[in-house]
Amino acid sequence: MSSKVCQHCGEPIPAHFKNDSFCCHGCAHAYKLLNEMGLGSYYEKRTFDDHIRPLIPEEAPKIDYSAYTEGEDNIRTLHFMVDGLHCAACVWVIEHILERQPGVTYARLNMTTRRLTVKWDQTKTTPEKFTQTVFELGYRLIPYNPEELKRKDTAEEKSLLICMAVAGFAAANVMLFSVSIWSGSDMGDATKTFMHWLSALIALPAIAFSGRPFFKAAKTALKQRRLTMEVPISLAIILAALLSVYQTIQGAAHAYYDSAIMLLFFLLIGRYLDKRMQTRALDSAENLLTLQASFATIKNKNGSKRIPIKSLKAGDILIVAKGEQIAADGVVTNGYSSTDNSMITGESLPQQVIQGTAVVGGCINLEGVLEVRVTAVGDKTVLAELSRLVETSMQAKNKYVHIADKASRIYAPAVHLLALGTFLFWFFYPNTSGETAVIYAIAVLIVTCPCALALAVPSAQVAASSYLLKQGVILKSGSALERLKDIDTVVFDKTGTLTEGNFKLITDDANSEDLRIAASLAVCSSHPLAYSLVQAVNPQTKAAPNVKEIPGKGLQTTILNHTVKLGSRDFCGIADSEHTNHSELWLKAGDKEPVCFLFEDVLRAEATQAVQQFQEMGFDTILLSGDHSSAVQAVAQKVGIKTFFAHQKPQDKQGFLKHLQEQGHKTLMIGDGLNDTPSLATAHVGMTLASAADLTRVHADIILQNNHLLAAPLATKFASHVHHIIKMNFAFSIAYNSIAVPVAMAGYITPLLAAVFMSTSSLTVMLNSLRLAITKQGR
Amino acid sequence: MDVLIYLIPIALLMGLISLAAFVWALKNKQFEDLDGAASRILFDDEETTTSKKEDN
Repeated sequence: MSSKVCQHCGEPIPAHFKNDSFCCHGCAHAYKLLNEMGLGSYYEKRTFDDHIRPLIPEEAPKIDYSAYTEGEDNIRTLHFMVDGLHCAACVWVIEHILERQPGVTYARLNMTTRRLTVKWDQTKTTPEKFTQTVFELGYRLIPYNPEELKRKDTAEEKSLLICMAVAGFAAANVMLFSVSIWSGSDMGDATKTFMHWLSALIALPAIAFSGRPFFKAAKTALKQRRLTMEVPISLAIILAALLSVYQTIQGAAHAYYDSAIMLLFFLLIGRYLDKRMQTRALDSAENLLTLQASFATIKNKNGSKRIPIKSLKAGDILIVAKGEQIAADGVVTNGYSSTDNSMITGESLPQQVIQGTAVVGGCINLEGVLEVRVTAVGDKTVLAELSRLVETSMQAKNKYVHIADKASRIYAPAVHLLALGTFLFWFFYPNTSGETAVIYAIAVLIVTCPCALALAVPSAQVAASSYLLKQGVILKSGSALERLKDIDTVVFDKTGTLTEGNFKLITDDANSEDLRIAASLAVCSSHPLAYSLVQAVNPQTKAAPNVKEIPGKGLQTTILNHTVKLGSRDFCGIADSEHTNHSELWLKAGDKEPVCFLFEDVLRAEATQAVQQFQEMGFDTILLSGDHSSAVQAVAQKVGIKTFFAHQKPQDKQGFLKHLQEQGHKTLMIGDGLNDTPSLATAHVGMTLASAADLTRVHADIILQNNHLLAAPLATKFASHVHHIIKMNFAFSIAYNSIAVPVAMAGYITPLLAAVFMSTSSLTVMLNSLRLAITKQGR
Repeated sequence: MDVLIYLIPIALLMGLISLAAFVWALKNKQFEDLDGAASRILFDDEETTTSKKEDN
């Protein structure tokens, strides 16, 4: 390998390339462009992130931007998702290069969400023009409609944050007075009452404002005759406030304004963290979805145009380029090629398609350009059928009860009973007034302090998800980690999950001269088999002269007056000999005996290790595949899985998982094909890879971002660790309560004691959870 | 203790100002891109239109 790297994209430069600085013309052009624009310092500032797609300068696709454009006047706005963002310098260079284009008035790229907003003057430039320069640098811009992504969650998150700020402000200020009261033992009664009134002035409006999220939820719960965590919380806060007002009027020594507002503040922190985690998970999932956004090229009077897949109609003629996904179900009207159906069926061998063959949306066109007449769109497609299978399973999954809900189901009645018991005891106790009984009962309500309890789960979840995100694991559903800890069986898909979904040359007895000739032809084609052949022989192979590609058949050239052919069995004129389960390429050089090269879908490097780790953790491992039995068996043996099933249709896979669940097993399904989607939804936990199809990622609970299989056992181990921390958090808060509650029931609690209990328990829980975020890799 | 008459309003006012500042910042989308904001401060100024400038 050459040690030279391209000055623009940082990828190694092929050795046969004469240029020392760049790997391709695109990169050279990009380098020149940036230096001309005075943005050359980009190269000094940037750093590459291995997890991100490398820069590949390319032509901007011809997209119809009008559907995404906003604004009525000359100044229009477009929103883009940016692919290939490595570091802050990328943000800098994209913003600057856009803003220096004539007509662009505004360009702002959000580094956190990877979303870009551009405003431009319609009379001076067009989106096609300004996106072109960004594509030339190697970044990709994918337009999206912000209205579609806008959720009420984000608004809710903001309002929670404001509530939290108000509560925090009030808590700090009320505490100022409380500390004065607690420490000023020589304070006159008048001053004390004055301080109490001031506290009331701050705390009461703050409670009314910041408490709304809880009060509303409690109201809804009560209407539905349910007891949720919000009910005792609201009750404790409101009663504490009312009791304090009463005691202030009476000129009593104690008031609970500080407890009430502090309780609210801690609870809001928990609520906010919870919401934040949900939105962050959704954001990353949405980014992934939009990046692979769904455009299709259709034929029209003026040639072709790219339109969103959503606006496809039956009867449209799709133009499917080599390597592109077929956007909808249809019939081939023109062209000759083969398709990779592994996403739909799990079969690893490509299928030949000719004019008249029906193709299914989601398959990948491997060879020539195909024209496909769309026969079905929307809910009539094979994909939509899969979606329906998925939906029914998802409904069942949504019934999962979170550990926090389980806790609150015990907690809420327990608190009310304790408070009631305290009231009854003191009410009938000789020599105490009814008033004292009420005060003690309220003190119990306040001091049972669910804030540690409310923080126990969200603080651990947030810490855990941010750690996992760094490891390339995106948690899509809030309960995914909780469910992951229960599993006892791991079910794998084969093609694309345990294997790479690419072919690799496995013939090792071929003569090296034959291989060299084959490679020199193959280098001229981008067919996956040809590509693997070149990679296996010598990635820097020089092309043979005058190679012709005959789509769907093979490659041909003339060397020293001999015709040399590389391609399919028929193309090389080989009689129908025995067929294998492998993909094959034949080489026929002149009169020599034809040579056959066999290819196989290879295992991912870490597949065996990942399976082993699961087995060491004591899980059953099962392989389900839609592929032929010999291929499935070979993979199963290699990775060490004893139970395997071949020829599994999507329905079969789903049925198998259902059967396992009925037997009481909790399953983790790892798959990436569309055919796995129903099973992913059925399994206790569904895990998929970032390279999977949209629909699959939507319905998975966990996405492995870098297609790194070892992250799966890592996440599973981590899940039980997280569960352990959550249980510890519960134990802490229960321990605090078991001290505080008897004190409160005996009537010895003071606002100072309540504050100490509340903040120490909440802090302990938060600190304990933070341990998750700093966990070392390999735990 | 008369000093309280000044001190309490001052303390409250200071708190309120910071609360207002926070709400303003939130409404003004200052918290939208925390990663970007951390790096943006290091970006060069607009004026460097020519590549000759290499001041370290």
